[in-house]
Amino acid sequence: MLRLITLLLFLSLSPESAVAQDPRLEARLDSVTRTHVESLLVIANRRGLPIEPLVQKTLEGSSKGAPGPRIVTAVESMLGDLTRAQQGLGRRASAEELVAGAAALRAGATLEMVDRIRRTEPDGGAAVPLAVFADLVAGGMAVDAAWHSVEELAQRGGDEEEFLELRERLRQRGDSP
Amino acid sequence: MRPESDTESDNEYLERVAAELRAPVPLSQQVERQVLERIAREPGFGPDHRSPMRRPVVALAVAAGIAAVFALGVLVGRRSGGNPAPAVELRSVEFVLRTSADSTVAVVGDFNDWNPRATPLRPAADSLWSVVVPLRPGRYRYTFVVDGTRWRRDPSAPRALEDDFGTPTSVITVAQR
Repeated sequence: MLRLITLLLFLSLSPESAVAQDPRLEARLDSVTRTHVESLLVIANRRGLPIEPLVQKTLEGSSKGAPGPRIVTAVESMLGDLTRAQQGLGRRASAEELVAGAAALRAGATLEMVDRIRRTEPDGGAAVPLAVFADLVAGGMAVDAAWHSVEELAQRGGDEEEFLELRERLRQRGDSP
Repeated sequence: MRPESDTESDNEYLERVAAELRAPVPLSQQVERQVLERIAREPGFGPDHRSPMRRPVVALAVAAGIAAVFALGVLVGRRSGGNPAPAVELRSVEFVLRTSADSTVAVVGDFNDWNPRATPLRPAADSLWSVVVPLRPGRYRYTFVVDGTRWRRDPSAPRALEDDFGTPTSVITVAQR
């Protein structure tokens, strides 16, 4: 019976392992780095987070010639950002919203800000406003000013194209170079 | 004992004897019961004392259970990664870079596994290089690779706030609507 339980546990866990065992990683990472990254992918999978952004972060590090420990640190950091984004956006958030939410949090948004955008942009529409906020801050705009612009447009019911136009307008004006 | 008929051949005689030997011997009910009881006491007969896993019905049930657990695990694995976005059409995005490249310019990013050979730009007039890439809505980090060694961020796009590997990176947000 013990053997049977062990087998069932193994089989029930194997899909997770299969998710983490990406052939792209095997081709581009040394075995130690790959093992670390795969364990992070398993954690992300258990939390219901998207795997692909973490894989892309890994591949980016590999292409840029980063050493293994630095790649692992970057993936760990992104996993933390995605986890926090999920706390603000909820477990029903799409992968695009979680990626944008992670960028917004890293740019200085709080969980409360992310939650407010989620409430004004239901049905998966929070991705672009959050991404625009992150882009504005990355361009040098102050967090408060960037948030004010994004939230104001969100409350007016702006669509995705309007958010992108807002970003371009502010960039051209020099508020976010 | 050999019959006295001259017309009966040896073969016919042997066949008749064999048929009589093959005929069932009538036994009393008591003898038949004793024989069956004796057989039932022999190992491997009577009530099924085999290991549960060696019983066909049990083995089939366990196999079905394992298959169900495995299928559930696969479904859980596939469910993860954020909620799957509904089918959306790709948007054509043009990447352009003005540079004095000697040989090649490529774009690498979250959309092509950061593979410098995946998406080369084509040269045009005035040192202008470009390529059109179909992308799903979302936020992508990318950069250009000039002559296979130089990393150049896109001057016309927001820069990425998260720069984990110390090289310039840009961001593009593709709207859904």
